[in-house]
Amino acid sequence: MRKSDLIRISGRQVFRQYRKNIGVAMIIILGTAGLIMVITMGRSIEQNISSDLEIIGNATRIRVIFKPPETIGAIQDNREFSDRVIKEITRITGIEAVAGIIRKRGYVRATSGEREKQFECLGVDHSFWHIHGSTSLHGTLITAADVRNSKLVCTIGQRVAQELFGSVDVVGKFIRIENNLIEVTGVLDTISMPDKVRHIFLPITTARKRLSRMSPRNRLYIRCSSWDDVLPALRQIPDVLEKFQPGDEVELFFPVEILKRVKAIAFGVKTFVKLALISTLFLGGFGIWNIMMMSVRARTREIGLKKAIGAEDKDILVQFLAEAVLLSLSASTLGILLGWAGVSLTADIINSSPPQELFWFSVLIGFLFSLFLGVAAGIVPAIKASRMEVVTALRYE
Amino acid sequence: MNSPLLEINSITKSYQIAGQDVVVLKQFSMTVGKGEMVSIMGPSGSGKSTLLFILGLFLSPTAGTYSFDNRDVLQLNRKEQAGFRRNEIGFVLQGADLLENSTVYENVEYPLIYAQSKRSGRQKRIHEVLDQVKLSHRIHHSSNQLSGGERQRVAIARALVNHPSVILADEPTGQLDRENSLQVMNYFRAIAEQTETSLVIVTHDQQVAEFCDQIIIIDRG
Repeated sequence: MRKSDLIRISGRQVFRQYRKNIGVAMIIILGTAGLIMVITMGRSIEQNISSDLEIIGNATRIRVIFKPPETIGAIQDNREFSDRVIKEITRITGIEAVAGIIRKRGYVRATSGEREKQFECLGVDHSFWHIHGSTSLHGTLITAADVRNSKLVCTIGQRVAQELFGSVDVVGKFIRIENNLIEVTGVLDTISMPDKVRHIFLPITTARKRLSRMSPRNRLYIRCSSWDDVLPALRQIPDVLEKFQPGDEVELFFPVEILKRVKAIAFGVKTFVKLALISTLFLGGFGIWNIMMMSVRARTREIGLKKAIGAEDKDILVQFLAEAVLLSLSASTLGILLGWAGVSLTADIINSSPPQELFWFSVLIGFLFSLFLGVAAGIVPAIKASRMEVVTALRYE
Repeated sequence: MNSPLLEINSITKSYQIAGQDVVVLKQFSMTVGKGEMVSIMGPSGSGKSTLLFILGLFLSPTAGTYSFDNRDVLQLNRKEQAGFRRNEIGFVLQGADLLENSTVYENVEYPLIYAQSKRSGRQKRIHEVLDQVKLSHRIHHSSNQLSGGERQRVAIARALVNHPSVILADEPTGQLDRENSLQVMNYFRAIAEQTETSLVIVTHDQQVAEFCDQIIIIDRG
């Protein structure tokens, strides 16, 4: 039989039997779409989960400080991370953001009207919030523009707001620190940094210029894109220091146990989802097998007739096999379209843009898997049909 | 009689049923010439259909010889048998077996597909044979929409489409009324005369048998 005839008559058969095939086709469509979504969106979703878990456990956050000086009795340690070092660390693959902070030695005295209290004070830049997964309870957190322009603004912790103003709705109000009148632009949430509810945050540039007794920038916070990026980053950060600030040794802190647990949970969930999807596809395969077996029985006389008019065993075999493969591939094509729609929708929802090559890779995997499914599910019924004896088939009622 | 096309000698066919040999055909011989119409008659269970299946190489005889156009066709392997059926034989089966949910065109096209004939020439040939059985106007109708007589004519067209040397017909008029039976037999007669195609027709009907050049009666093998 010519290939063009084979495709034509198999396609015709699959199309004409679409009512019988629709259930199995739906299983394959959904399975393929799911597989494409998991493969394509897996990393984006992982990053989102990572971002959510950041609030709980800071699983992808690294803290870098200088090793304490060995000289006993050292009074002042003026080492700080240079702009160049921060820039180079930011360029490491898998690192999303780097923020250096400075802190007020001792407490600041802050006043608002009649009230005066002592609080801790930090100079930060805008990426500090992203690294800690922080949001504002009211107003806005310190922005890049605030840092760039050394604005006299601050973000305050919830307790600061309550103690100075008796309320948390304090955006636009002013506090005085060391004769600087500073506008409150926002109040920090209490979830991301529960230990900093009594902190006042100023733009790092403002704090340096306006406040006394500020520490050097001797502490870095680093946010990795995903937990898979943490260990490679940990290996590369000391190399950057060695290259651009030789002699300054650092200590790196990261929540290794949390990271392990988070990875284990994510692995478990991903494995479960993948297994469920593969099971769905195998269910589709079993459905094809079942349909083809029933089809062989229902079409016994047809097989006998075709052999009587000159079909060889291989003609019958390839036709049944082609029908199974066409059913599987046409369903998986629809599944790919559905998967593409699902990926677009999910990407919009979670505000992510998955790599195109990953999408095409998942399409290839979905297509090959469906091909395998069609062949595996169709081969036994096809062989059974091809080996049927003409007389038995023609006499079948 | 014209030169012989197929010749079977001392054909025996027996089956093992419940440990016993049941002989269906016993030492049966016949010869069919080119363009000759032969009818096979006999009571039910006499082995008529078995004989037809042996002639079509669907069954192997237990003993005997079968030569077709001076070739010993019993020696053919499975693939060669399919080729033999495709190129030399046209089948008209009991009850006008057509492929359901397929059009008249598709039914007649199948033997050409299996013979790997070029698509360009197929349409012309299908129209030719449908013209012969006067069914061109039904070419795109589904087989389910045809009457019994029309179905039988489609089966004849399908048997003819590959220019066979012989048509084997199993009760071709079994489910037709008198008028349609006569029409079918007239087609067979015309085919035999115009194309020198031989016909072997299994029938119960004496009137149908009388259309043929030779009547063979089988009585219990």
